[in-house]
Amino acid sequence: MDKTKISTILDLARESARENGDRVYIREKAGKDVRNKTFNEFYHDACRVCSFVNEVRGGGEPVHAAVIGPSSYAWIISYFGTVFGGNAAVPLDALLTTEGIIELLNRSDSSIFFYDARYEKLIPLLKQNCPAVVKYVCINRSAPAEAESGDIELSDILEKYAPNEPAPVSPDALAAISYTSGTTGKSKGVMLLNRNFIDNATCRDNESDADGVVLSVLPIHHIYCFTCDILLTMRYGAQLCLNDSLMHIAQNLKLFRPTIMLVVPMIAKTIYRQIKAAAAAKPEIPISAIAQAVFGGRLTVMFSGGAYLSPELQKAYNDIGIRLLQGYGMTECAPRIASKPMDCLDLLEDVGTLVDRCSVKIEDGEILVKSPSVMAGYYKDPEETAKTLTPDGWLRTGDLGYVDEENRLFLTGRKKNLIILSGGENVSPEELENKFDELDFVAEVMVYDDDDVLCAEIFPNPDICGKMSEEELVKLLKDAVAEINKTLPSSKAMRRIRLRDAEFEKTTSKKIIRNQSVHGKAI
Amino acid sequence: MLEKMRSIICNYVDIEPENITEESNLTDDLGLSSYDIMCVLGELEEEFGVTVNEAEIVDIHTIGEAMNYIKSLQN
Repeated sequence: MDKTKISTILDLARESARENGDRVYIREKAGKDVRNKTFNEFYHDACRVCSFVNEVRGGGEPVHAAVIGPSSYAWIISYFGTVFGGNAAVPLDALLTTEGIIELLNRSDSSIFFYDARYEKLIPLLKQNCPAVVKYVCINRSAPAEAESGDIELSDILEKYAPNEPAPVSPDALAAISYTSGTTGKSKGVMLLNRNFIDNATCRDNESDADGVVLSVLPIHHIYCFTCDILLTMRYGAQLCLNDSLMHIAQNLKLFRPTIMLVVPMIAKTIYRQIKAAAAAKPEIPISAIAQAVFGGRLTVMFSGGAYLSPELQKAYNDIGIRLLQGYGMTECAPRIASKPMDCLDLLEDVGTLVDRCSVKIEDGEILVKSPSVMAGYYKDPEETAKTLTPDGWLRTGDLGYVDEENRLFLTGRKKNLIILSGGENVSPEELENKFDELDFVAEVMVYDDDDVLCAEIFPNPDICGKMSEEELVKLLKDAVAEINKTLPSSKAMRRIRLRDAEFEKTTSKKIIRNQSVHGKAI
Repeated sequence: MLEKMRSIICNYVDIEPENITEESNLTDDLGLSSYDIMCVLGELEEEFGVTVNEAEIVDIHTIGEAMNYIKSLQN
C-alpha cells in the first residue's frame, strides 16, 4: 500500500478494500461455525453505519459515539462507521461497572451508544442517567427484543442504509476519545486524531504481508489492539481473526492457526507454562513440536506490550522457535513509541528501537516523546493536558529510562504510582484506596501489586477494633473488601488482604510511603 | 470432578495434585493469575460441555466454588 495516499482512517480502509477486494479480512466464531467477512464487505458495512451516524449528526458538529462489547465484527464496523464520517468513537472497556459506563458516556458527550446485547438490561438505567445519548444501538442481538423500545439495531442499519461513499475527512479530525487510568484515580480521555493513528500504523514497515494471519486476543477497546491488530492487518491486507473470550484462546489458536500474535506478558507466560507441562507429560516429543501444536502450527512471532516482559520468558520462547518481541508505547502516543524489528534475534533488555518519526529526550530521568502520533490532549481536561504535554509538544511518559547509542530504548522504572499488573491492566491505587474513606474501622490502607495480585493492606482503627477478637476483625475486613470489590471491574478486584498491627511508615508530610519495608500478614 | 480439576491446574502451576483441595484459594494458595483462571475455566467448559458466563466468575475464589459453579451449569 502506498503510504503517501493515506492520511485518515477512511483512506486506509478504502485503499485496503480497493487492493484486497473479496479476500477474507475478518473471521469470527458464530456459534459452531466461523463467519468470514471480506475487505469489501467490511468497507461497505462501515459505510452504511457512517450513513446512519451522519443522519444522527444532521449536518451539525461531529458527534461522539461510544461502543462497548467483546471483540466482534459488529464492534469494529460500529467504530469505523463513526470515524468514516469525521465523527469520534469512544471505545469503552467491556469490564466497566454500570456507574463507570454512565460516567464515561456523560464525560465523553456521546450521543450514540453502540452496545453488545449483554448490556441490554442496563439500557433503561442509562436512559435515565445519560441525557445526551439520543440513539441506542444493539450491535448483535440474537433474539428479537422483548419489548418495542424504539431503538434501532445494527442489523437494521445494515439493511436500511446505503453504503454511500463518505465525504473526505480532515487528517486533523478527532477519531477517538480513549479512556485510560490516571494516577489521580480519575480516568482521562485521550483525544487521538486521524493523523495520529495513521502515523502510528505506518511508523514501521514490513511487519506482515497479505499471507499474515493475526489472532486478536487483546481487549478490543485498547489502543494496542486497535492500532496493531486492526489497522495493521488492514494496511498489509492480512487476516484478522477475533478471539471471542480469554477462556477460549487455546481452542481459537487451533481453529485460526495464526502466524502473528500480539499479547500481554501474562498471556505469553500462561501459554508457555501449558507448553512446558505438555512437554513434561510427553518427553519423547520435542518441546518445539509441542509448542507448534499448541499455537496451531504456523506461529513465528509474538509482540508483547502493556507490561514488563522478562528476558527469561523471551529466551524460553526463543528456545522453542518463536520470537517474542518487546515493545513500548502508551495510549497518548497511539500507542507505539519503540518496538523490535520482526527479525530481531537479540535478547537484550531494551524495549526496542524508536519507531520512525519519534524522538525522545530525557529530563530528570523521565522519558519525553515527540512524534506525529502524540495525542491532541485530554478531553475537557486542560489541567491534566498541561501536566502531560509540554508547551512545545513533548509528551511526558512518566517512565524513567534512557536511549543508547544505537537508538534502543531502555526502561528503568515508573515515575508514577500506577500499578501495572502483568496482564497489562492499569490500576490506580488511589482510586481503590479512596473507596475505604467512609469505613471508620479502617485507619489506613494502601493498595499495591503483591506478586501480581492486587493487595489491600489495612491498619485497622484501634479505637473501634481494639477489643475485637482476631476472628471478628478478619471477618469484618474481608466482608468490607468483598463489598468494595462488587463495585469494581474484576481486573481491579483486591484479591488479597494484609493486616498490619502498626501504622504505615510515612513521609514528613504524613503521606504513606509506598515502598514499605515491613508488610502485614495475609488474612 | 476434583480429580479433573487437579489434573488441569497442575498444567498451570508447579504443585502436587494432592495439595489441591476444595478449600484451596485459586490465587493465594495455588498462585494462579487471573488469566490462568480464565484458561482453566475454558478447559472446564470443554471438559464438562457447559458455557461459562464471564460476568459470574468474579465470585469464584476457591476450587470448591469453581466446582459448584460448573455443577450449577450442568443442572
